[in-house]
Amino acid sequence: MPPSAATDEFTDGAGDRLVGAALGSALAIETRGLTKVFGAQRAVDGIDLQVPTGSVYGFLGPNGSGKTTTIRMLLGLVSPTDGDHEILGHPMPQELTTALHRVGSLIEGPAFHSHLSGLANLRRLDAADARSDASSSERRVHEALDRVGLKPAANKRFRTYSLGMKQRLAIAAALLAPRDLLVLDEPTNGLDPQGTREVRHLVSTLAAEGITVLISSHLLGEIQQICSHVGVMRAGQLVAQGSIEELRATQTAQLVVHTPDPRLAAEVLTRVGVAAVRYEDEVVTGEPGAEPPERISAALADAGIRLRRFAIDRPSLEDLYVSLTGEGFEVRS
Amino acid sequence: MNAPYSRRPWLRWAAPGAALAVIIAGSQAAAHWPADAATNLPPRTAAQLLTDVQRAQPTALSGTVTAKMSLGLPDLPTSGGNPTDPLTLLSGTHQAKVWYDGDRQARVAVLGDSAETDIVSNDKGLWVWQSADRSVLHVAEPSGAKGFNAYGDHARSDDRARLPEQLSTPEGVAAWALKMLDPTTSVTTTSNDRVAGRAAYELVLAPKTSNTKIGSIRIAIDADHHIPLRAQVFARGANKPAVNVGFSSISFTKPSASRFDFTPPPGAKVTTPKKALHAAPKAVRHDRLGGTANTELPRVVGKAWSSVLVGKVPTKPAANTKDRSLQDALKLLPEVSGSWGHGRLLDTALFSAVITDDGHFAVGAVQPATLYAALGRN
Amino acid sequence: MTTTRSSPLVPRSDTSRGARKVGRFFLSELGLIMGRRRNQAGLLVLAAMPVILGVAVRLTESNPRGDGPPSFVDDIVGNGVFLAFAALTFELTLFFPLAIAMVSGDAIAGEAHSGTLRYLLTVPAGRTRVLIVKYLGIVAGSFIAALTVTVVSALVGILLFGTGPLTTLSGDQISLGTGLWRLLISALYVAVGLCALGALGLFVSTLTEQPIAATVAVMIVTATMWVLDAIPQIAWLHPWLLVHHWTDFAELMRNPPDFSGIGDGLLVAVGYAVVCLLAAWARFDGKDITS
Repeated sequence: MPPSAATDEFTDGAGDRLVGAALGSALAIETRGLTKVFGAQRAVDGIDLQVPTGSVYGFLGPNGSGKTTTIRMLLGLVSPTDGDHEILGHPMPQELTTALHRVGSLIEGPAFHSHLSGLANLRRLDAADARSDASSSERRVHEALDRVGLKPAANKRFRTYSLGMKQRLAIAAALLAPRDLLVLDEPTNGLDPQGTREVRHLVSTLAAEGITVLISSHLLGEIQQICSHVGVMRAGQLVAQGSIEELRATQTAQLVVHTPDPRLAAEVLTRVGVAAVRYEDEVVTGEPGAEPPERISAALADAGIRLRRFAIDRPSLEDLYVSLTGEGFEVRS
Repeated sequence: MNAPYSRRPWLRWAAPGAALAVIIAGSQAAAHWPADAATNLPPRTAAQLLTDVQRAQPTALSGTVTAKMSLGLPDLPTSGGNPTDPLTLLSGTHQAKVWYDGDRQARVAVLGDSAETDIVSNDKGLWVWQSADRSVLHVAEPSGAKGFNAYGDHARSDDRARLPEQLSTPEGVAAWALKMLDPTTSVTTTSNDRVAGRAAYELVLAPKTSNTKIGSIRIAIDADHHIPLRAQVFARGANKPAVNVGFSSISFTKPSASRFDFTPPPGAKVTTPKKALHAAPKAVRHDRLGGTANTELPRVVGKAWSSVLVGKVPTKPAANTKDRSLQDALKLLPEVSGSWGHGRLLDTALFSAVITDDGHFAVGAVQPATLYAALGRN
Repeated sequence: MTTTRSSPLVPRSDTSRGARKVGRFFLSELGLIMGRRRNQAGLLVLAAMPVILGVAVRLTESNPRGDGPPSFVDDIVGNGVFLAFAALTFELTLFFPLAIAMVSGDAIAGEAHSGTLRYLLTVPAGRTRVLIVKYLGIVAGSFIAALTVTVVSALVGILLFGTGPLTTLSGDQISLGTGLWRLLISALYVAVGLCALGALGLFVSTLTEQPIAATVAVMIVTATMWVLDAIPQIAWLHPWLLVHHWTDFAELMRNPPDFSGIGDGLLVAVGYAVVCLLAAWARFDGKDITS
């Protein structure tokens, strides 16, 4: 369990936390064979999502790959056709109210009453929470607005907000009560680079406080630097999942040597332990494995091989992502 | 799973479905409940019942009388909201509230759609109030007479339980039916009927001739108070009454005296016919039937159940709109012709009527052929 | 969802907590309904109708008695309080149902349309609790509408025509106090009828994500019921129509007041409300929120 902010304020929530802790779940979100069929289409096809407590989980996939449907199932908005899941150790949907009270969420962009001010919208959401404490409501609403920097615009009508302000208000709504889990669906969608940076900064601050974050995006680049874990969806299926390190480890580094002496170079490389050595024209490639690059280059130099280029290419996660999800547009029907 | 319908969403619909079923079943049960309540009355013969009725003491009562007409006439649009429009009374369902103090004060309120006609008989005379045109007809007792006794004694000597609207109360219709009793009619009784929640006997009058449209007349008589509670007229072969007039609720507690007070409200048109008191009820009836009584006197052709009333209608139709609409309605009736002439036929479940083009009419509780025969004898 | 799905193993039942916290949610909902410009304008139109009616009758004081449908319009000249009865009768045919159809269309379909529904549900507000609060909002709207029209029209009527004892349909007179008392009962009865329509509206509102579609559907249902109620050939159906007893508060203007029509009307209203609310629950509790 992460050290959670202001737990003592929610005395009646503490018992539920113990229930969650007693189940000993190290996973903030766990799904087993979660499936949603809309008509003939399997929007989500038996996924086993595992979001470790305390992680920042990047939930990736192209548009239409089933991310949003999955998130809606996680939050009880859509009933699964099959499979089951637990949120913070609570089986869903049986303990939905208990679980969701500790979950802040942003689903498919901000949506508020346009004729109400940002402040009034947050007050309404807090009043709607069956478990929120009325006496601390005002303080929490203002703190949440302050946190996302909307205090100056608190009394402006929602319809006058810019897209970035709307997005920040939605995040403020997710922070109305102390949370253990944030589910943020495309929080950077439609934001300019400055706004994207702000959201990233906010998320990493929250994660540093110990809140588990599930953040979805169709662009790996936008969230890669703040994620500890990643899951990749494609066509309704979870095609990869794990910590960034685990995923990186599945990627093999490539040694590339440009030389006018390819045959000789290949022999030297094989000798020092580089695997899968091949050469063609004046380019030699191989998999260096655990062999330190300086030893390889020294061996080549000792053999008197003339080098034009010596490089070890480590594929980026982006390459992995593209290889998993395919390039360009993908429309499923 | 704790939620049995989380994977079977349709299970939830059992809740509204069950509620709907309970409501429908409950309303049906409530509608039939009084009839199903057990009663256990000793059988009584027709003679005993009739004697009971003769001996019945006038009793204070208040209640609601419901009249349901299913003559097979098209429902006429209610015009002007006057609930005692005779045309309106011929079809549909009508309600009247009745109060009677057991002596000589009575009040009948015929309920219309946001309208009401009240007939009040009290010690100041007879009042007829019509809310539709805010009119009051007041027939006072002659000055100097002591109270309302003249009318009261007259009523008592004639028929102790007489109420003003004689033919629209169960008592009135029953009295009319009793006069029909003669060898042409078979009279039987049933017990253990229930009307307005009260145990009742039923007197069943069935014509012996088949030359009539009337199948039977059934009069329900209260087992305790021996007053008629309901009268039903069945067409031959029908199992639902064509005319059903009876109490839908009744209580034998005496209404408060103020129930029979009547003061014309401000702004009402009060008319006071200067006629002798005894003529008053007739005058009222005359007025209400539209004043067509003074023309050629009609005759009765045939006997008992198969009798036919033959006569001539006034030749010059009245100019007011209601009569004109009556003329229009006549044109909708099917044309008939025969050796007796040519005219239009109104054929209902209980009676038929013919109006010839030259203004003769024949009406009776018989088949049209009998009417034609009666006209032919003209 | 909160009440029906909570596991018996969870010590605190969601129902009791929900009930305690419905108050704050309800006040917020009421503020939302009353804060909408559209609803404010609607209430203004409702209140303006009796003023127009009163002024029209005042200007044409001659008051010819036509063959039209019976109403209290003829009695207004004699006593201004009848303007309130006339206004209630008049607005029941179109304006009241339209107001309720609008509010109930906003209730679920409107929130779904604007996307705020998904945030309400993940707050979490609890689906059953959302339905309860939404319905309470419609109920409050019904009473506000009926009472506003009644008070405004009684005041305008008294101002224009004066007042005094009221002449009942039975020809007897009742005191002004008794008359106002019966007027209040009439207004509350009208409000209860509107609440039943609101339950129907709430159900329709759970079927669509277009508030206008829900509003139009409720109006079509209401208009159909009025039409069916006017066809004598299907009299057997009339007692089952929600609107059949709606104007039966006129029976209170008899002497003694006849409560049987109102009693039947209340039973029908409760029947509609129960079935429609359960249907709304059945639909909403299992509905996939994809907006």
